[in-house]
Amino acid sequence: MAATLRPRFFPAAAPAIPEQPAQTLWSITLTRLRRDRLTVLALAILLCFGLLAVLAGLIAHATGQDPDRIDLLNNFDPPSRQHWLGTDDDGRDQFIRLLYGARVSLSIGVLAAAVNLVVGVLIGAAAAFYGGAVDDLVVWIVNTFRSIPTFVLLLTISALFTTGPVGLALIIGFTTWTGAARLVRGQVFQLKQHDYVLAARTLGASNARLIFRHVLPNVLPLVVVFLGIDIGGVILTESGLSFLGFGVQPPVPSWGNMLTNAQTFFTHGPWLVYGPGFVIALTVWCLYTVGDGFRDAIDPHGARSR
Amino acid sequence: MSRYLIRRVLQAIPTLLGITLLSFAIYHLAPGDPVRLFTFGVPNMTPEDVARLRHQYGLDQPLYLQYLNWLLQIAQLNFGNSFITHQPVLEMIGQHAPATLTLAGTALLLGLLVGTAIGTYSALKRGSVADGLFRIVAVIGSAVPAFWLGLVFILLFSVQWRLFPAGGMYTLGSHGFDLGDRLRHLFPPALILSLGTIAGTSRIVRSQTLETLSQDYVRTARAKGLSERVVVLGHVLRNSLLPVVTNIGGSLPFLLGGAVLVEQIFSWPGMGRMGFDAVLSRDYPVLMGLLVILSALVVLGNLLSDLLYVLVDPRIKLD
Repeated sequence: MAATLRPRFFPAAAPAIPEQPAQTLWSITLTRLRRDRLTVLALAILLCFGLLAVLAGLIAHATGQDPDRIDLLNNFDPPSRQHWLGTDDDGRDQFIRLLYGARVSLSIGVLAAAVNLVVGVLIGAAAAFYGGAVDDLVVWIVNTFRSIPTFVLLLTISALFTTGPVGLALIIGFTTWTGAARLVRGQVFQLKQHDYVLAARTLGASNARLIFRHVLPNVLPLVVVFLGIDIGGVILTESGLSFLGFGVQPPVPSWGNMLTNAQTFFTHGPWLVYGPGFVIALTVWCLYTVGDGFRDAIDPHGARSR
Repeated sequence: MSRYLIRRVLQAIPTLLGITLLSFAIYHLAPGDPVRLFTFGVPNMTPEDVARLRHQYGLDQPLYLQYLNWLLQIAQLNFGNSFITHQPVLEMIGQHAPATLTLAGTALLLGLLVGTAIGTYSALKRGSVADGLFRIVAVIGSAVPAFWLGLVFILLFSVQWRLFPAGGMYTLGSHGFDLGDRLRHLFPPALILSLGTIAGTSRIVRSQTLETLSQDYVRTARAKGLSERVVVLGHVLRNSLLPVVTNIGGSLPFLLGGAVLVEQIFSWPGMGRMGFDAVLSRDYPVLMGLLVILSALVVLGNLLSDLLYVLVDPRIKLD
């Protein structure tokens, strides 16, 4: 067998292959992503939202609006040239508040997702890598968390500990890490069986080096795919909490708390109900779509799910 | 079967313990001293009185003893009394549980039925306009916040077109039990709550049905001359339902958590609204009792869905 294989792997005279830069997993993924129009569109919308959120202050200044200026004489103004999306119950410009809300809601989404990923990945990896009692403990904690309706838990915690947006993001992050932990645990269980890990261990690599240098980089693609669903889920959760009045506290605007008084808007200004819901849905849809697109692009088999 | 049952029930015990431990931890990490809450503004309170109160409620004991005492009480289904109404917590939950269970149960059933129907249809008509439409709807269904859909539903169907009541369980001032009236009140919140389940179930059923359709035994069934109807309903559907049954357990926390939001929007007098009021008034015993009982319901639901799975899938060999 070896003799017949040899020419294929070690050709005596290599045919002239044009010089190509080495293709890494990430460069292949990027090439594939660029061909996926839906994902590119979703990514573009997300970047736009991110940019608008960053520039909220400039835009407010340029249009002469202030997200916190109360103008009770002009409340519930319908959309006009001066107020593009009308004004809310306190006469504040709805469009500018949506921009500032984007800042808050997107930052909480990213921060909470970062927290739950770091915690989930580390705990999941440790559980699978060490196994035994460590794994039992982690499985117990994860099972416990997964039996508690997360939203009820968050409601209880955020009501008892009044915090600002950063505290809220931390609370959400530390209660939603079990998804990432389960995902990574399963993956690391597979990875640690591979020969290359054994080889590295034979060479004297420490456990920490094995985890951080050899195992986790191979979990990374999975985590990137998970990121979209993760941030999207956090944004939905935060909007629900803030809507009920237990998340981001007014006057700081978030997409959720802009809907808190929605039931009184019905008669005065229905347009106030549509805007925040639309931007939440669009953002979460884009995040899910980008996650799906990444999964398809990163899959070495090239199986398209769409 | 009984051995599996016993083992599965025993497995639930550590989870239940974990839930009580977490609830207790939240309660004790929360800022604010319950005794201070009672005695705030009460004149003539000497430090000795405060100490006596602390002793009376067992708050001067070490934490692990407090936890064990609380656990013992819970084991006897004693969740204490509400700070606000002074009613036993279990009694309050008992009053509100039927409403929530009706809502969540209807939503679960609706979600599973509609989701399975959509998923099967999409798989059979793969690539059709309807398939594409359903998939877009499923994605939107999981991306749009349910509470906002509820608001828009009320705005359109209750305020503008007056087709459905805007909330509550029955028309106020009506006499006796009117099933039609109850159903008209139940449908909007149940529909909104079920959207997540519809989206999830249809996605799972679609991919599973596509996989099942390419199996040899399906070809055999068709080769035998069975009608497409019998093949789909008798042979394919049963297999597509397996992952759905597995997924029920995982969707329960979201269903019960989502019920809190939906109950708030549709003024549904269930445990969610009760919890909402308890959060507003910082009614600790009610909050802790709700957290433990809702989680215990999830554990029970998981147990039932595992047992259901064993019954549905004949390939599973026990022990």
